[in-house]
Amino acid sequence: MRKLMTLKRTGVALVTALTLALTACGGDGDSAGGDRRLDVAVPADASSLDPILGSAGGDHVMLYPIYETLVGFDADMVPQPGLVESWSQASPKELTLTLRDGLTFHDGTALDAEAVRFNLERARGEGSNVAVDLASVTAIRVDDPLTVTLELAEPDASLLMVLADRAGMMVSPAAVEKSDGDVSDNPVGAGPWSIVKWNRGQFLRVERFDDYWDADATRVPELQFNVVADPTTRATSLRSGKQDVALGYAPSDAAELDGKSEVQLVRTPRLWVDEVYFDLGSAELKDVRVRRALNLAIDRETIVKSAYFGLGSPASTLFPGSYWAANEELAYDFDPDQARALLAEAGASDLSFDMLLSADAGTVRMGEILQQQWADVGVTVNLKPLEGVQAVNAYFVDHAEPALLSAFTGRPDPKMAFDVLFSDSSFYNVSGLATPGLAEALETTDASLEGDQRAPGFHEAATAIFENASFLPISFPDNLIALGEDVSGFEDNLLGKPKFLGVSLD
Amino acid sequence: MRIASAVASRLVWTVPTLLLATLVAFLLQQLIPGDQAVALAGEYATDEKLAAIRADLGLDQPVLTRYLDWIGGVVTGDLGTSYRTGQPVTEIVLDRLPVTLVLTLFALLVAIVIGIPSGVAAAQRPGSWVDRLFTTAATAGIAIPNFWLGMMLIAVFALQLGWLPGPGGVDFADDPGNALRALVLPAIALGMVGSAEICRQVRSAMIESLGSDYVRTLRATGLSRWSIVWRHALKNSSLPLATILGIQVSHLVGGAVVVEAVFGLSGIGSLVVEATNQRDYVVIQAVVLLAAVIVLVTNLVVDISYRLLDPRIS
Repeated sequence: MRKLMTLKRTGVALVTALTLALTACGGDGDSAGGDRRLDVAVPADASSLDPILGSAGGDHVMLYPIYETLVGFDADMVPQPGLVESWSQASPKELTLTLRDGLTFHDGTALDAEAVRFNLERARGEGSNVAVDLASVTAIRVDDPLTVTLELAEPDASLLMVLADRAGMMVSPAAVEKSDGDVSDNPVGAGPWSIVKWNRGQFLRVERFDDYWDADATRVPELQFNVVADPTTRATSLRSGKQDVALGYAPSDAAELDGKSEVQLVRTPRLWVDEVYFDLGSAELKDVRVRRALNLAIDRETIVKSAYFGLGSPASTLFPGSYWAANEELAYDFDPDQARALLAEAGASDLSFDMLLSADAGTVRMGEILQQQWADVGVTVNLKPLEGVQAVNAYFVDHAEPALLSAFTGRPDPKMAFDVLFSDSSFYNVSGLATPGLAEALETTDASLEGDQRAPGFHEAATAIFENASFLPISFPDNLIALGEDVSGFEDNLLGKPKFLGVSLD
Repeated sequence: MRIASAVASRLVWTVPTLLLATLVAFLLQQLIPGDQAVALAGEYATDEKLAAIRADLGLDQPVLTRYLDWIGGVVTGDLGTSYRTGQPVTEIVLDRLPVTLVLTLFALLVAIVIGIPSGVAAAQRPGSWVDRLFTTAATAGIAIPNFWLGMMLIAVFALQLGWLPGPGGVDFADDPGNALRALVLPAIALGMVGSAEICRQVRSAMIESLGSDYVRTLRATGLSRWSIVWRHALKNSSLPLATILGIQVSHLVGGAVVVEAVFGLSGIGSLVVEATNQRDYVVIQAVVLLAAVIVLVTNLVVDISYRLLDPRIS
C-alpha cells in the first residue's frame, strides 16, 4: 500500500512538473521586444515562388514582398511609379519605361534595363503562365541602361497594370540561370524583403532588404506567412496571439468579433465578384430575355445579408462602385414581376436548367438562395454541387451544364477582366459567343494610359454586358482581414492582395 | 526462432498487400472526376495550357502503364515528382512526416496514460461509482468527435487561460520547445478517443482476469493488491490491450487529418488534403503507400507482441 502511495506521489509530481514545463512562459513565445516578426496567417501556400510559373490568385501576397514590380499601384488600383520612375508613349504603339537609378536585386546584381528585358522576354516565353498578358508586345528594346521600350502590335493601355502584376515582377537573371528556369527554390527579386526560408505547405519567412529602393518605407524586420487552411483556425490562431494578421477572415467569424475583442477588422471592397457564369449558346439560356429575367428575379441585398452577414455589397456589374472603371449607373432592380413577364415573352415560363457549383457550404447556401428566388418566378434550377475542381472542369472543359455558380477573383486592369471573362476566344466564355458592342467599347480604352480617359470605354463595355446579361453578377464580398491589437499602418487594396509596406508592430 | 520465422512469413505477404493497396488507390484516383490539368492551371487556364499540361504529365498513357511506371520508380526509391510544385515527393513527405509522427506518438501516449489506469481503476469494483464514472466518461470520450474536442481545448487552454499555444503551425527547427508545447492540445484531442477505447478494453479484460482462479490463489498467498493488479492481472490482460493499441495506431493516423486541420498543423494529414484538392496524385500515392506501411508494420509488431506476451501462441 505504501508502495502504491509512493508511486502515486511520484506520478503526481511528474505530471505537475510536466505541466509546469509545458505551460512555463505560456502564451506567445515571440513577443519579446518591439522589433519582432510579423506573423501572417494565409489560407494557402504559394503555388510557386516563381512569378511567371505560379497559377493561384493567392500567390501574390507572398510574391510582392520578394519581387518588386516595375509599376506599382495604389489602394484604388491606379498605376504608380515602382521600379519604373516614369513612363511615356512616343506613339500609341510604344511604351517607354525609365528605371530608377542604382537599383539592385537581393543578390547584389544590378537591376538595369537589360535585366528588365531579360525578365519580360522570359514572361513572354515558353512555359510562362502570363505570356498572354504580354501578347501585344512585339519587341523589347533597351535604349540605355535605365530605359526600356516595349514595341506593340496594337495600342494596349492595360500593359501598365500588367507590369504591376506577375509579368512585372523582376527576378534576378543570375538566379534564373542558376535555377534552371524555375526560381521557386532560389527566389531572388528586388522587393522590400528577401527570402530566409520556405517550408512548402508550412511557412515562408522573409527579412528586410536593406538596399530596397524606397528606403523610407516602413517595414517590419521579418515577415512570416503561415499556411493555415481552415478559416476558423486562422481566427483562433490570431486571437491566441500566434498571428498578427489573418487573411481571408470568414464573415461568420468577423460578425462575432463586433465589439467583443481587441482584434481589429479591416473590411475592404475588392475586385472579386460572386457570379453565375452563363453558357450563352445553351438551349436554356441563349435568349437574352431569359438571362435578364434571371438577373431581375434575385434579391441581391438579401443575399449579401444572409450569405455574408452584410459584409459585402450587391453586384450588378463586374466592378464595385469604388473602382475607377466601374459604371455605377447600372443596377438590377429586384423585380420578380418583370422577370415573369420577360420569361413569358420568351416562352420560357416553365424554364428548368441545371447549375453546377462547388460543394462547399458557402456556395451551396448561395445556390439554395438563388434556387428559392428563381422558384418564385417559376424557374426550376437543379443544383449540381461537385467538389471545386470537378465543378470547374465540368463547366469550362466538358461544357456539361449551361450555368456555373462561382466567382471571378479579378485582374489588375479592367480590360484584362473584360477580356478574360467575355472575349469570344477566352477559356472562360464557354459558348465562344461575343457580347454585342463589347469589342468596340474596349477598343477605345487603349487610346490613352490615363484612367479618366479610359473610364468611358469601360462604362460602355459594362453597359454592353448588362444589356446582353452575359453573366449574373451577385455580390462583391468584402475582403476581411483581421489584425492583432498592436498592428498599425496596414492598408489593403481593391485587389484584395495586401503588400505589408507601412505596417508596424507597436 | 519461431518469432523470426513468423516475421519472415508476414514479410512475404507484405509485398502483395502493398501492391494491392497502391493499385486500388491508383485506380480509385482515376475515377475521381475533374481534370488534373484544370487544377494545375489554376486561374491561368487556356485550352493550349491545358493541352500542354496533359502532355507533360503523360495523361494520355494507359492507366496501367502509368501505375507500372510509378511502382518501378518506388522500387528504385523514387516516389516521383509532385505535379504541382515540381519537388521530389520523397522530400515533401519527409518534410511533413515529423509533425504527424510526433503528434501521433503524443496522442498514443495520451491514450495509454489515461486509458490503462482508468480501465484498471474501473475494473476494481464493477458496478461501483468509480466504475460507472469511468465507463460513462469512456462512452462520452468515444462519442465526442476529435475536431470538437480540439476546438474546446483551444477555447479554454489557448484563448481563455493562455497556458498553451493556439493553433497555427509549428517549426521544430526554429523553436523545438515551443513546437512540442504546440502539439500538446492536438495530441490530447487526437488521443482522447483512443484512451476511451483502451479504458473499455482494459476494464473488460481486467474484470475477467481479476475474477479468475489464479487471482484467488494469489490473494490466498497474501500477495499485495498492487502486485496482483499490476504485475499479474494486467499482464494477463495484455493481449486485448496489444490488439487495441494496434488498431489505435491506424485510427490515429487517420484522425490526424482532421486534427491537423483544426490546429493548423502542416503534417501528412494536411498534405493529403492539399494534394487531393490539387489533384496531385503522385503525392496521394506516396501517402497511401506510407499509411499502408505504417499499418502493416503495426500489425507485425502486434503479432510479435502476442508471441512475446503469451508463449502458447504459435
